[in-house]
Amino acid sequence: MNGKPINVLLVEDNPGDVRLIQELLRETDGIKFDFVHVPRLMEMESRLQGFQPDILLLDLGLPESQGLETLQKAKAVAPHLPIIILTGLFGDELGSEAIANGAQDYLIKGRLDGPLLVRAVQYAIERKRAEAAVRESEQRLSSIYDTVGDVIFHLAVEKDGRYRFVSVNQAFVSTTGIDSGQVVDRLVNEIIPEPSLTLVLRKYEEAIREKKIVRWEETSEYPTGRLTGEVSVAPVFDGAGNCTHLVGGVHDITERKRAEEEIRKLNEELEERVRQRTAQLENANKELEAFSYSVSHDLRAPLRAIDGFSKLLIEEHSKEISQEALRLLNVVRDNTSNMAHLIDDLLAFARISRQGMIKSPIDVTKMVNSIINELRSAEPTRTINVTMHSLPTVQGDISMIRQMLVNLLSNAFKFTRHQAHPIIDIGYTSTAEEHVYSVSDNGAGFDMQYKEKLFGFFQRLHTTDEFEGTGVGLAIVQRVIHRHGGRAWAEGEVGKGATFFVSLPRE
Amino acid sequence: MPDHSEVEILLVEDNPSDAELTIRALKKHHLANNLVHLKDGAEAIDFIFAKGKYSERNIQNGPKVVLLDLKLPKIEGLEVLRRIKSDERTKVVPVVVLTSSKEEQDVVRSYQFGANSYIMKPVDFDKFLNAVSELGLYWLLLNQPPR
Repeated sequence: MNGKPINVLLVEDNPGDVRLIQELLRETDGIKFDFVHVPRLMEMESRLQGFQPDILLLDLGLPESQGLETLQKAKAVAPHLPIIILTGLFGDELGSEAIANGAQDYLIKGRLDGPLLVRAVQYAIERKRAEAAVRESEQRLSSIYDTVGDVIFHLAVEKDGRYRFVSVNQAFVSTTGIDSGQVVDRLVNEIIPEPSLTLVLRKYEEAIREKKIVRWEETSEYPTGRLTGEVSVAPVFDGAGNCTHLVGGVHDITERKRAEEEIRKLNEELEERVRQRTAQLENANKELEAFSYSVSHDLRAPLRAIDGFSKLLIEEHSKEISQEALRLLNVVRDNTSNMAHLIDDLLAFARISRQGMIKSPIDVTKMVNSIINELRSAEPTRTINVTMHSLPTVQGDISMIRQMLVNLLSNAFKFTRHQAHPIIDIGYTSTAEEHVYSVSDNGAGFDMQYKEKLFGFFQRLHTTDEFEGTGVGLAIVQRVIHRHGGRAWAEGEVGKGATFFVSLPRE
Repeated sequence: MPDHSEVEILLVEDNPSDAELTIRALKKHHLANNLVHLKDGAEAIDFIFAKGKYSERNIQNGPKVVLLDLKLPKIEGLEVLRRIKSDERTKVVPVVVLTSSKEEQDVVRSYQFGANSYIMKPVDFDKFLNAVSELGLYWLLLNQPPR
């Protein structure tokens, strides 16, 4: 207030009192007062046009109005102005009533002095300002309270430990369909039905006992329907550490729960469909199994007879038949042998496709070494330069991965057969997702325009005269790799060699 | 009716070609002297358990070895095997399962039912010859079943 004068408006009909107050205000040094005086309330209103008072000093005994009525009229004219009442001697009772009706203070004219008046004026202004600030803050909180989307409720904890609703916000009313009048001042026991009540009371007690916010999920019936909410309750303690209130909030998750339920149902339907489809596939698999079982038995028996009786002819009747007939019989035997291999490969392919996979870590380096040793001992006369780096281990089905590697490596052995200095290199590259293993050879190679056919079933790029085979080996390689979630591909050049790549995902 | 008291080999095989080849293979190694060839599972059961037209036989006087095909008319090979191996009187008789099948389930089930050995009949007659003679020699000459 330094420098800036305090504007004082005095409504007083007694010229003596006017002069006295004017004098008392003038006496004080340090604080400057601008003083305006009107003798009647009627004039006060028009005086306010050009003058903004900080304080109103009001004599209650005016010619046109007496007592508290004067205060009411003044407040009606200037609702935000702090008011100090001036009363006559023995005016304590009236003064107290005036304060109860909104005046900031009262002063008894006969006991006035300068410092008392100045202090009363200053306090009155300050008190009014503080009241306004509190009111504003309350309004702000109340608007938040009533506009927030979540339910908020306020409970008093009574001495006997029961809980009574103090207030609920607008969201409570709109969400539950229960009017605040049906809830406020009533006990929780009267509002919340079992079985929710037991749970709710237990949670309240927990919040108070543990001195913390307690949360839980709750579903109850309300006039608006069945609602599910995430409830949280916080205890409020007084200075002595007693819990006097609980403040609770409820976040309505009914919609989310409904959506979750929907998802759960859809998942169940999906799982049911998967179950049905799996059953169908299992049936199809069983039929395939029965089919390959008969292929295995029934196709081999006649072949065995053809081979066996041709052999008997050759052995026991060689004197009766010509050399050419003998040669023809051997052609028959060669072809039965080819047919037998075809059947075996076909069955191996079917088995790879249908058998269950048991994945475990595989030491690929060790597996490749063992296969190479087997292949070397099958062709002891050949000298093959095999180079190999230490290969990363991988997760896979041991028998399938072994079958796949046998096929790749035996191909490399086979197609380098006409090479004077056969070289086979086994290597790998790795990314974060997968290991790519490669088998390179300097053998017969292939024309890249047929690379799509390489992995096809019964597809061959060489004649049986050049290289024997059934065209199933690489189809098995691809099937094994696909079943492991990887890819198989190849690069090559006729006469220069080929490189086969297989990728397997890292776990 | 021939004398079935000293049967050394009981061959149960419905495929005549396979039967002939098997018998020839055994003959080549002089193992087919006392061989009986039956063509279905029901007859094999009757023979082994001395029933029906074989009721004259003495069940104790079983064959020294049974060569049993799995795919048989009337009663399948695995069932014949199961019955032989679940009867106190016959379970000591060695049974060699002889089949075209490479299917693992056949191998596993044959051993589960108590087969003494399992031979996959190869298409290649030379290999077939070896397999048949080896198993015949083993079970007839080397293996002495408890009596």
